[in-house]
Amino acid sequence: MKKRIERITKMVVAPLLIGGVLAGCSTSTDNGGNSSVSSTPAATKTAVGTSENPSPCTSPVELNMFVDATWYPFQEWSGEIPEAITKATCVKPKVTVATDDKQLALMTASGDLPDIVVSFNFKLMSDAKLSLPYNQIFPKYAPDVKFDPIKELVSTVTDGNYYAIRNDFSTEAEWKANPYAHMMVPGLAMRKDILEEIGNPAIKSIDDLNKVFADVKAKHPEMTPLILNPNWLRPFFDTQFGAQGGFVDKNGKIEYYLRQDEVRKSMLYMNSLYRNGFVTSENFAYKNESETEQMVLAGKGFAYTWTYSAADRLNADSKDKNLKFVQLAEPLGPNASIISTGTGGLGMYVTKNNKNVEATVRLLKYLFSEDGWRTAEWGIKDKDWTWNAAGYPEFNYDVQNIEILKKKGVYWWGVPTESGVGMALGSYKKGSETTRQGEAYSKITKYNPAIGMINPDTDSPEQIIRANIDNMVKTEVTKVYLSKSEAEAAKAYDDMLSKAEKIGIAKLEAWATKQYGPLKEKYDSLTKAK
Amino acid sequence: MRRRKTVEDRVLDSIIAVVLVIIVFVTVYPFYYILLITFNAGTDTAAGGMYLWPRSFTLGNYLYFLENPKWIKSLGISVLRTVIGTSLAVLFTCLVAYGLSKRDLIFRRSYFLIVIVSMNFSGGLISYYIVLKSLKLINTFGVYVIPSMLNLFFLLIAISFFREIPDELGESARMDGASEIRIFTKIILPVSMPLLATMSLFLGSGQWNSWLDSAYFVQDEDLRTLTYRMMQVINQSMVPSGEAQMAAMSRSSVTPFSIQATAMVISIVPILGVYPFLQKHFVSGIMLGSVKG
Repeated sequence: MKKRIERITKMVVAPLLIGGVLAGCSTSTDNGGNSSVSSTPAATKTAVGTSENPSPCTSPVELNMFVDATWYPFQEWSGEIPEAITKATCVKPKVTVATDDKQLALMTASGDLPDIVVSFNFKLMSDAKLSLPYNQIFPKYAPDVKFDPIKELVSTVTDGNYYAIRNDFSTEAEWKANPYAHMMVPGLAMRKDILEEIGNPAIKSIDDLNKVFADVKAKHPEMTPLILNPNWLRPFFDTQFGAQGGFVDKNGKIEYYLRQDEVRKSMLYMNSLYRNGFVTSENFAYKNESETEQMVLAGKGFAYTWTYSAADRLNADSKDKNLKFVQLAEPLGPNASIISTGTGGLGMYVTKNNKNVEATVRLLKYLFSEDGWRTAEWGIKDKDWTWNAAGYPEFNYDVQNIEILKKKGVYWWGVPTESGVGMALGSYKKGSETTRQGEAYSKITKYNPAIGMINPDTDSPEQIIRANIDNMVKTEVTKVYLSKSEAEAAKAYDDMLSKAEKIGIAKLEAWATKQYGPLKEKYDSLTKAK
Repeated sequence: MRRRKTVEDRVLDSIIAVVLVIIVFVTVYPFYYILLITFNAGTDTAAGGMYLWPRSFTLGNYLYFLENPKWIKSLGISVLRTVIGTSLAVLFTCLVAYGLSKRDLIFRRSYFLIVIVSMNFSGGLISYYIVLKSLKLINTFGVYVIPSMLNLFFLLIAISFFREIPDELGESARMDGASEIRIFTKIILPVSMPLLATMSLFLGSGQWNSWLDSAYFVQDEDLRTLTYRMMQVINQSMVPSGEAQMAAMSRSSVTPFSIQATAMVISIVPILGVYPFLQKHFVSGIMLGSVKG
């Protein structure tokens, strides 16, 4: 009996031991970059000369770069353009693109960070525990680099440092200095053939637009007059009513967008579109914008909400279908306005685990330089593009063909350091629908990035209030859109507002107003100094 | 002697046949429709109205996945992890279950307590990652097969299965001088085919479909699995339009929906291929422990 128990015990323990041994025997080739921060060049010493006296780069420094955007189209550092960047900087990033949006959080929590993180997550990565401040590493390794003070300001966090200069942001002065750069705005594309069929009416107001939808519905009952892109449901109409999202400046005080009468009008207008049969109720359930685009291309709709490039992109995607789209380029009435509060998106963060800060700064310096980002984003000057003396690039390849972009490795490695103006100049095309709307809307665009700088800290009471309000709106707003009468829609809107009050909208606004004062003051002082 | 069918019998048979046809249709048609989407141009599918045959036949959806040369290597990794991971998990889980199925095992209650606690409480992703890192499993092939070697759900099922095998089987072999390992491999496992088939199917499909471990715990491109690459393709097909103006989808006929449908088909094909061979065992295996007697 005793022997038997002994045998059986062995039977259980042996496999567990085998498992342990197997686990221990596994080899690791982990190169996750766990070395501490070092300012000395890597073992593979490379010498990169000045631009006047370039020396050849024999073995580029390899840096691990994590791109925290699951949809990023480029998965590796390959092609003619990345090679040119490596040649210029002697740095070769080894790219990993996120497959899941929780990956970066896992990396930061476990301390297993790569050398560079490219991310939209400004709040998470702007942390001295994770990243190295630009205002320390640039003066040390590239003292000649000077960023625009406004760009520094909009990326500066509460500890007084800025850990990235985020992309897609340009100052008002830069926008004004580049008349061919037009900020991306929400847009509405329409079928040209059907417009002609109903007599090409002038569309100068919301009422004119409603009349066009009604005419289309009467002439083409099989067609939906308007298809809404799920990612661009309301922005176009918000613009026409002068409604803004997020925080809004009301005579120096901050209010949350839900309180704005303009937002109310825009939401009630969406409801009127549904009640008049101009949009379908199913449209509010769609999640994927390419499905709605395909519906438009299949001839199921007359108009489509998207961006100012909607018509150009639909035209490019429907070459074989003989469809032609035009953009509703002019704002609909005197209330239309855009307040640009953006402070940028993607940042390139140099992590505390970075094993070669000097080489990293060399790469960043190049990518932030005019030559660098133009090469990364547009290609080789005079070969891939030429500079029109008027002030915009003209391309020698199809910039909208992702296959060409992938083959050359052009555009997407320029995105993390592109400025707003840089991005917009790339989409300038004389006479295009995009440009037509861009020109019209530039006239009604005002800038106030100080609002975009109001960012509650993660897990702060204000952030929780804001998240709760936004989640509540996400679930409740459909009730407004799909109400059976205007009165019912108005009541649904008021209910939403009273729920926001209960969640703590007033507290959020009081906090935001307190933050806003000094930020606005600082921003104004910098813009006046320019 | 065959009884002649009455009218009532015929009516009843007809009703049963109609109901069964409806059930078969609602079960099979969604699969068929997904398959249809994969062989049809995505742009054409989006127009709707396709029900029985591909309207615009294309292999483009499959080519979209297979145009990257890394895919063949990833297929190899996926096959390898499925074969090795499933074999190890089945063998190891059965081995532990066999020991725990003995009622006179010393510290049996403590072992069970460990099993029950770890079944109901998890340390979460971060602590799991740190454990794997301390075991030097990060960025190795081992991360695919070693953590999943002991499956607690099947451990409990296997324990109850082994308990139903008459002790006399083992006893007679023991009297002939067979060791426990010999009894386990030569007597117990051969009579446990339903259990092994059920475990293989579930654990195998789990191994084949798993992509999170490849995304979170592996950085080496040579160790990426097929499902990880599929996730990448699906993700890439969903570029948000607001992020960049020039990020238009390529001028191909694929759409995110057709890509997702193709990914679905690719992921279920191996299971569909193996299932018919395991089915006879699987039916009895799934009923394990359902009757107390």
